[in-house]
Amino acid sequence: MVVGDKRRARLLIGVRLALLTVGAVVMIIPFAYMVATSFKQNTLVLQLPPQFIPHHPTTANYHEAWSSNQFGRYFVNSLMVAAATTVLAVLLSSMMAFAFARFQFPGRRLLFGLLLIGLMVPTMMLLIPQFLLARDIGALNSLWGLVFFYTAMNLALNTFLLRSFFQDIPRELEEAMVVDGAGPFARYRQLILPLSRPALATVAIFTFLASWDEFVWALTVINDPSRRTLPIAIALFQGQHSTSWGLVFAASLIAILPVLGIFITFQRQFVSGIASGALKG
Amino acid sequence: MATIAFNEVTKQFDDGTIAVDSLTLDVKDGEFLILVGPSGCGKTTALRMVAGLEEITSGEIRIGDKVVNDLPPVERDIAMVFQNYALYPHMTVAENIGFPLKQQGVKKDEAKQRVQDAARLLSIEDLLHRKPRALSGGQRQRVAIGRALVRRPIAFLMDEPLSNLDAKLRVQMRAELISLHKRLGVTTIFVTHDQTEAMTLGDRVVVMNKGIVQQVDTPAQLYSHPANTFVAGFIGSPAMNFLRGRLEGGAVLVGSHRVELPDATRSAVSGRTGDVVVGVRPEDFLSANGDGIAAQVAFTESLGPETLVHFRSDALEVVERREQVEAGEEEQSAGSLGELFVARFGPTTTVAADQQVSLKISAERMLLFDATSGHALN
Repeated sequence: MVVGDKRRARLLIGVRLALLTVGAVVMIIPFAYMVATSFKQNTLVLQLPPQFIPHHPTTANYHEAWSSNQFGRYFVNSLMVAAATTVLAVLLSSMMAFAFARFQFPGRRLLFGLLLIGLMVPTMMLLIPQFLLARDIGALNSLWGLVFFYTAMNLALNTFLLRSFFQDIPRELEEAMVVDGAGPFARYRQLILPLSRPALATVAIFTFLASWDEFVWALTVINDPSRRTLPIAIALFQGQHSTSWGLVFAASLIAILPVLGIFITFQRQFVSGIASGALKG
Repeated sequence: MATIAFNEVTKQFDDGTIAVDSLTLDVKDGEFLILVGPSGCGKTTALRMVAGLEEITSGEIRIGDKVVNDLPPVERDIAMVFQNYALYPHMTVAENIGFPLKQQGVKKDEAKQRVQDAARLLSIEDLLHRKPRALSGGQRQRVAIGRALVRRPIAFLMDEPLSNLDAKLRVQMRAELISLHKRLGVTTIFVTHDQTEAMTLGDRVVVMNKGIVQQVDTPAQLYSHPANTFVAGFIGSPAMNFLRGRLEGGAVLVGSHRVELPDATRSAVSGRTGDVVVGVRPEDFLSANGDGIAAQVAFTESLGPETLVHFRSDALEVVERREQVEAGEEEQSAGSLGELFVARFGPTTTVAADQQVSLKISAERMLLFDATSGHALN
């Protein structure tokens, strides 16, 4: 590299770092403020100028959030729904993706096109038809009903992502398995799934996050207070006339923990999934 | 072990391409048969049809007494070695080799023993716990072969298994394959585009071009008695020289040079006159004492045990063979240097570039082909 190029490269790196820092600050400040507020007493929440490090930190908000409004139960409800949805959606979408990636069957393109259309319809538009369907099949006010619809909502995107990953797995490997006596299910289980761990981790995280965070559908179909999920519980902390922000933020931070745990567990595979084209498309 | 028979087998792809055209061929029990030809000649498709990875458009394939056209690969009792080894990257060497046994439901103890046996046979016992990514090309190839032979199949199918190895390792693996075949005696179909591999490995060699079998014969016969100009040009390195010639009485005129035909050739072409293609192997150009074909040496290549002498001669006229050009042979690149011919001399030759030499053609070994069809005449 000649001298001029080196200087220009250094300048470019400096500009890049500055832009990234600005972006990171914009992303981090609200989160940092949320963490700070969750440790403040309620009377100090809206204090000006805002304090990022509370003078008298307290964990009272966390205690109150966890013990009030059956928060623990909602947490467990959410965990069950998100975990079941993740398992089901990843299992079904990986099977569908395998079929779309590797098998020739009549209507393959049409079916895949229909699946993609599902990605293009806004969730809000589906709310009423889905509600009518849920009513007809007895899926209202039920956690399994939530699992059923959350799974359906995640299938299209997951299948789309996994299909492109599966297509990149060398066909020769599958042919070798065919000659070795492996049927379609054995190939799916013993070749496609183990080789697609990064992609599976990626869609698992997406699915878990999507069902963990989902609010509108849960609010629409769940009436029984004991079957509420976390997003509804957090919303309940917001009163009509006043909101206890310390409580809301403490509850939100508790809600983040499982997502954080999942991300840390699958982080390596998630990143390599993105890097190796699990998300190409 | 088993015989494999192709009976009028044709494969036409959806886009209309005919990859294999009416292939009829019998592979003998325990035979090492080579399918060779340029890219796109249909050799791999033919192999994949035996494996059951490709459907047959028409005709019949038998393995042993059984017609296998509609049988899934697993029921054909064959094993295949792929060009890129196709080792399962997430499994250890032992798991790779043992995979077919697991699918067959072989008991764990027996499977373990058979994996050990295969590993011992291929000298890869120390590698059983490694993953494929931690193996060299040669080791991967051995594992792929191990996975094929652990099943004790009735036939091996090998799709260019040596093409990804470096030249030295390829020679070593060739020798190992020959020795393995001698020990096991399993019917083997081996696909390659490398004519050296074909000549050294096969009991018999099938030369294919554009989906059609050109000749099925032993390596020696293919070399000395090719059925047509395609086979003559494809087999042998450097390729055969093709010269324009004219049959006249008991001799052939090659340019201004007259070669008297030996009795056997004379009776083979009796009554024939007119244009022919004269095929001369590089080693069949011999030194003459001034009364031969005048030639000017363009350049020489010293290969150690032999020296290749590339020369031009106004007395000779080269015949362009369309199929040879299509085969993409390296020797054809010499065409860009003008009408170059090649002769093979001993290592001690003193012939050098720009030198004038006098050559003659070995009448006994010279081959004659029909100028229109390219079919061999002698």
